[in-house]
Amino acid sequence: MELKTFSAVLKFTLQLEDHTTQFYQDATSNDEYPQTKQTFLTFSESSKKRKRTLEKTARESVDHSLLEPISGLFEEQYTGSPLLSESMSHADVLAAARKLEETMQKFYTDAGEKIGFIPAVSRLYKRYSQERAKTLATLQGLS
Amino acid sequence: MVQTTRTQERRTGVPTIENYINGHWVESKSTRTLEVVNPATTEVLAQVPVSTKEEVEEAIQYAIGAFEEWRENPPLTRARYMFTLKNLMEEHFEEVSRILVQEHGKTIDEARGEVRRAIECVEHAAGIPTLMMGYNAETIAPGMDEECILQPLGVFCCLPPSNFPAMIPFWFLPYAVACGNTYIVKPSSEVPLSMNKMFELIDEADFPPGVINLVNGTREVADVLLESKDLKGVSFVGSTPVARYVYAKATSTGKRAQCQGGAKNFLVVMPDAPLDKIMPAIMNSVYGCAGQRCLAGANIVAIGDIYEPLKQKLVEAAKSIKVGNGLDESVQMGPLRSKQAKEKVLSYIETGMKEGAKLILDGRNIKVEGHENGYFIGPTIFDQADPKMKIGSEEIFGPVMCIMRAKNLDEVLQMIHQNPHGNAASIFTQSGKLAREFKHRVQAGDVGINLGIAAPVALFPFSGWKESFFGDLHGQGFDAINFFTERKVVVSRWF
Repeated sequence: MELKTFSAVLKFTLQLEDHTTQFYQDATSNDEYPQTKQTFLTFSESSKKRKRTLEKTARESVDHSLLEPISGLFEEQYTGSPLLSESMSHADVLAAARKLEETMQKFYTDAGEKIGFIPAVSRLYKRYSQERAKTLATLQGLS
Repeated sequence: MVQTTRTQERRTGVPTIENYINGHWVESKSTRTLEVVNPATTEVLAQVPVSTKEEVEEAIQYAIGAFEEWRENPPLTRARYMFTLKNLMEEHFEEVSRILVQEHGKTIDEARGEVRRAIECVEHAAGIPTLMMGYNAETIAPGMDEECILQPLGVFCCLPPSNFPAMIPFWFLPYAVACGNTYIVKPSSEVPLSMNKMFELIDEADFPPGVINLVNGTREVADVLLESKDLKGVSFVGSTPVARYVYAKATSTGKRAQCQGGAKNFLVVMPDAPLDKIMPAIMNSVYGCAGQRCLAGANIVAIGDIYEPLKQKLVEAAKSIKVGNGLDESVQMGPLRSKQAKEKVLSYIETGMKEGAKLILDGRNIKVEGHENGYFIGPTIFDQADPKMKIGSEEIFGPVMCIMRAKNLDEVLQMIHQNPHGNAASIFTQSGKLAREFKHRVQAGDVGINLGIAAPVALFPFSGWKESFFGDLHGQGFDAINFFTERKVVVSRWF
């Protein structure tokens, strides 16, 4: 589905962050490498914080006179992140997490460019794109 | 549900909203009510009473009674009420936005944007300790000093329109009350629910009884307020004929008045305008809130060779706008406010065709799945329109665009100035020289440079010229402070 309004983009973003939060919560139950448990918990908390900040910033920045139609942003390009299962190995969990972060980094970059008419939120998306890139780098350093 | 005439006896099963007078919610004694209808679904949301003359006069007396004590509060104390109100508005932001969508029809994005602007006015008014400072000069003569102080006057009221029911009262109310006046709001009887919710927040903010009051009803209620010799001023926003009426009636009884009227706004596209970049702004300007804004773009004037590519892009962009129920986040344009509003716009489209303009995008027969009875009209475009045609000169207040042509800036400025309205005008260009010239010469109060909706933020007055405004001082900004206070000049000396 094409995301054509600011509120549609925001709603989809919050859904993606909900998925991220749940993903890392579920990942902490993997007992094979308990030292990554804290890392996953941190990522889950970061996701919750991003969601709170997004909601607050959007609420404080939306301006009826600046709203513009959006084109070229499709939900399907950013869904389909792998789900976790109990049978997954630690390596598989890490691979799934890296894929998630790659997808989310791309989403924040792409969506941020589309909502430039609400600059405060657009800047937040740019920051979160960088944040997800850092998370990806951390995950790539784990084995 | 089949809608009959709006005025009818009270019915059970549909809530009837109340007035808020002297710090209490009060059921109106009137037996006359009107239906509040969701324009997307035609569901009856509530009933609103047509308050009695006695109830309005009672509200006025309570507001007068509350004034003396309220004005004695230091400005900083009054500012603290504004901080409390702002926090409550933030807390209930989404709730108010959703009520607004259901009573008006605008999209959820537009509703949130409206509520945000209302909050910004409260935030600005919270600066009243500084905003209301006077000035002085020492030794204007030997041993004599002179000072100018700003003082509140008494009771003011506002008569807001149906297109921004949550925001427009806040162009006036927070400034009036922060200055030390007391206040009465009479919302539009078509869309009273979001203001009803705002008053729940005002009640929760615990303003002293009588400081801020709400009376519901129609023109009859407005007339009681306008005729009252006890009110000091009136703020109105609506159509030009009614603005003229309100201004004349208010000032004839010695009141201050600020009356914002209608509009017919021109968007000028110069040959150097980057079409892909400006298209979203033009779409928002013309079709945002289904064209029901006094700042909405109506006449798109192409200068020179840009006409053909502009026209093509306008049609392409307008065709892709998704119309539907505003609660659906994917919807980009909601319905017209009411059945009457829809019929009026349809009538203008018919007129436009008879006048010889070419209908190149016809939004009349749009079908919205699941909302077959809703008051929808799709984006509509006339080409070869003329500013002398009715569709080119009168406010349609719907999603109808008229494309026109002009040879140069001089010609388009002549077109703009011949229109009796002067609310807003925009130019799209990459030339600073042309933009400056446009800004300097255009006879309009709200000017956009590469913007389709030049909506002033709370710090600035919401301007309007010619028949778009009657009065001297506008809402918002320093104009509001000056409207809601009087100057007292004191010359003193001591023995």
